[in-house]
Amino acid sequence: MSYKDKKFRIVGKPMPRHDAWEKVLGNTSYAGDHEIPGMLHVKALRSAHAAARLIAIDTSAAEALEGVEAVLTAKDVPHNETVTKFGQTHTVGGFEGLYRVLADKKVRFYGEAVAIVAAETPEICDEALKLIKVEYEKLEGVYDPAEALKPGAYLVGEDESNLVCQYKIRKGDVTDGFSRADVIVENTFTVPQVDHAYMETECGTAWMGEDGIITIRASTQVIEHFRGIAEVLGLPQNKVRVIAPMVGGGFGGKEDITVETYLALVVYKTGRPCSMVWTREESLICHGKRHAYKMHYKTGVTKDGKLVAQQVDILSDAGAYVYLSPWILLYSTVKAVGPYDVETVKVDSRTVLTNNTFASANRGFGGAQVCFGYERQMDEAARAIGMDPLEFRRRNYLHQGDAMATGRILENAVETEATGIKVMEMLGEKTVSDKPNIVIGQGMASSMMSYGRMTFLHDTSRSYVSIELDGSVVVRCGVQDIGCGQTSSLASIAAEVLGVDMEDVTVFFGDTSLTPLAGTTTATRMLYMSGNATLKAAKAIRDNLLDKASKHLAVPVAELDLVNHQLVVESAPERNMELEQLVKLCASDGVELFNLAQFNAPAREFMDFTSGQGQVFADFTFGSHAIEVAVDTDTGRAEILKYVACYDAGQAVNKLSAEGQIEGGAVYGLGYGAMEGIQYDRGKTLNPDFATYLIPTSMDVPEIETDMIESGGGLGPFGAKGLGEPSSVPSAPAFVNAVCDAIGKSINDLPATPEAILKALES
Amino acid sequence: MSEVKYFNPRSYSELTTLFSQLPKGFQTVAGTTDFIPAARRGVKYPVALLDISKVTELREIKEENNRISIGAAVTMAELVSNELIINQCPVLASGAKSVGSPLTRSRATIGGNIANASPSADTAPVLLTLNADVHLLATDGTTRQIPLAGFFLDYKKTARKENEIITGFSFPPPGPAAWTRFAKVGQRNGAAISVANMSMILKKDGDRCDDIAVAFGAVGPVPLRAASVETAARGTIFSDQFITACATAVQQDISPISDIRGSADYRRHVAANILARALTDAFAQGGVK
Repeated sequence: MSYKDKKFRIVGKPMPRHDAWEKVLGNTSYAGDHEIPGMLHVKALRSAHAAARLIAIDTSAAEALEGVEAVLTAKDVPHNETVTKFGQTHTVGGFEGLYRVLADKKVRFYGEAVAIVAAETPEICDEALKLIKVEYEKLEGVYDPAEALKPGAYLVGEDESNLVCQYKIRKGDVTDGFSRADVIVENTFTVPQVDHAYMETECGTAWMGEDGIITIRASTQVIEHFRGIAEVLGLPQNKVRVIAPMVGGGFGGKEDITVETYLALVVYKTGRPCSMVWTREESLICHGKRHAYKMHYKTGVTKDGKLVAQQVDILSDAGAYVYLSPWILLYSTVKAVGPYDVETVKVDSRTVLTNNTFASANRGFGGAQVCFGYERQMDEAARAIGMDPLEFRRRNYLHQGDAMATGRILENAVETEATGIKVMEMLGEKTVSDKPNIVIGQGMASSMMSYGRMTFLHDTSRSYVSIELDGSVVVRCGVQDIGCGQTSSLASIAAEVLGVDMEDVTVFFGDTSLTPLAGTTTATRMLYMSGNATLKAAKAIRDNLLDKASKHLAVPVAELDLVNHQLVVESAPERNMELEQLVKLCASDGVELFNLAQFNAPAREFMDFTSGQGQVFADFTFGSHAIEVAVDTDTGRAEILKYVACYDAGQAVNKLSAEGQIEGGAVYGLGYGAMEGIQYDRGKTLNPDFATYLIPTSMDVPEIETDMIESGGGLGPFGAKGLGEPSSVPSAPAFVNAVCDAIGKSINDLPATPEAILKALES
Repeated sequence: MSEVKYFNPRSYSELTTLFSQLPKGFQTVAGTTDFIPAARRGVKYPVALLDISKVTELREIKEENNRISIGAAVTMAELVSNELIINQCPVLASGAKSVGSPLTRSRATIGGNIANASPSADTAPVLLTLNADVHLLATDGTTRQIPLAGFFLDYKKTARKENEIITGFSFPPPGPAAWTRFAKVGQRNGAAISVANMSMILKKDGDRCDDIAVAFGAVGPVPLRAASVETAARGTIFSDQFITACATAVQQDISPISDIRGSADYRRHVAANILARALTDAFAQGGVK
């Protein structure tokens, strides 16, 4: 092996992304840009009630409308209900996640799809939707998870309880821990449901090929839903193909099936191509949201700043269907005390069905909610003992080799403390206010967030790399590129290893029929998993090339390298050879110039659910954010004066992309902290558009200063860790901690709107 | 889908010639920044749209006989960058600048902002404090000019008759001696709809408040002049009690409701706070403006 780690030409450098220009010029073809001659348009009729019995649906008038090709309801779906099994975490046994294509018998949430229409134009679809007569019997429903847990509560689904699942973690005896505390701090935190608010709403096209295969080209994070779609239609899995073109934002919102089954169903029923594009309102009302949590934290600390006990109780609102709620709750439970070494820990968590829009994956996957809890609590505890918030954290940060509350030893790099020190250094001295109505505060937050899926899922990824006769390189990998540079990073890796430039690498991606399956673009796993698979494949080709060159030139492999399209002979530069020449030499001698590699993540069995002990994640990314805010005491408006963030990226593959991830994460989390929240009136969404559901605008986003530690201690290629989700997690608590520092009062509910801040100020 | 007739006159004479063809129930539009979102929410399309955004004469800003007149089709972006407005009436530029985003400001017009009669319209309190008149033209060719103060009748209801269109506004410039402020409380910096807004034009003589005009938006069914505040302030010497009296008086002038953007209680608080801040600043800063 002559590959020289760390002498990088491309990896770790700030490189323009290979797909950047096409996007900036508007040439990239997203799912919604695709048109097929003669395609039908598909729209859904959505429930007008959050809880109701479906008595009858009359579609005859809609079907009779000219230009309508099909009106489909639950009875038209071959397998309307499919079930995901989750394992033994319910008090009464295993639990199941029901996926229902179209509402049947009972409507569970406002906006649930009751029927779909396929017609020649979108306008005819709208007319037809109005002609469908649905007879509902309104039911009372339940909208608060605490209410939903009470005996005799309205039952959202068909089970005898609304409880989806519960977990616990026990480390030592908290009663004993609290008895050793000098101060006990107790707070309840609430965080609302929030949306992903991607630019591109859910959309796609589908068609049937002459071979009878149904292809769905959709905006998705998971092309491997082809299996689920096949199950719904009752087709063999190899008869359904999913293509994911460049995705206009995912953030977890396109991890579950959205338009795919509706499109497939219309193709299956009509044989005609079709398109479905959700409106912004549909997107805000109908797809899965980040879970609303109510969290109770009770923390025992000693006067010298040692965490001796923490008791956490989490109540999660799963909404109307299970989807990924059990897994998200598990993430929250494992991370409930954050990157801190707490002597005794007791965590109890539950997730419960209600008639609100279902909740599912959202950047952080349960990590963002608890980070608000533990990081607000860290500041409150520091204040209670009169200690500087950074100093207090420094006395409790976990380090490499320490055990988490689950007993899991952190064997890889843990640089949380370094990031915490760094951000406060970057933030500098607190600005002095020069106006009587402006108060200034500083706040920080650290977090631990996993990258890679849970180890009991036995995750894998595959990548195919080949080098062509002219020295250009092809990567085929079934990644979904959701805008974070998933494909670009694979190009960087292949280019680095094979001694070519990024422009010399073409990455074919996101096609279940043509690219090796690489798993989901979720869980901050793509660079880690597919990066490793691509690295493995590229190294195999490199080995073949160098091996051939070594024999040909009679030079040891150790003296050979591939740099800038050349085979470099370090001991005798005059013998250097063009890469193209070497490739041709290999080709004529039958040396393999391709490789299909699989990377397997470390796998473990389920944790012990009676004690919450065991390993759930392969590794974590650690980092910190710090913010300085100026609060206007007249209005409660909080202006961000300074925003800094620092992460241990392990090894940045593309410095520009890594910085972009941290900046994007900061903004994403800032919306959570300062303004976002789905508002409901008995399950009905009150803010279903961007005039009422507010996200930060360019005017609200400050300059974000980023820094990176590169410990090299990650499990990804070249020691990389993941940044996608970790970068957004500490933003909201850092913001609120800064606001609380400014006003000298506590805010424990998100979002910390100007109104909430003014209310706290005057309390 | 029913057909919607669309008229797009380019000049005042083209506009008046069109009148005979306009069906009953037509709706006047310009930038459509209120119309399109409403249509999207399901508000029924009218039988015909009269788009006045291209009528040259309605896009003018001019000064005549010591009155500034602004055509109804002048956009927010134009108000923000117009020399005459910047020099003579910066408070209006400030109000216009706070509307929506650059995208909306380049389309939204002052006529539409007033005709739509949203309580949160950002140019409304400014025009109210400027004692502006609304100029109306009926499809029978008659014109009339009424004070804006009497124009807003109730939530989204105005004195404009069905066959009338707003052609513009006129007002005397506040003059160089006036201290002016537009204040807006929104939920964020960009593309924010006012939770409360306020315009103030104040003339002072040393520590005495000589004359004052204050108007608020988004704190009642219509944008309104704060009569009680004006009465309490006019002729009074600036002091802490003066501020308290005004902040108390404003509560009688406003009648906010709670909605998705903010509670009535918050609106009452911030209305008093931005008023007190403006008065404090007006007297703290020596000289004018």
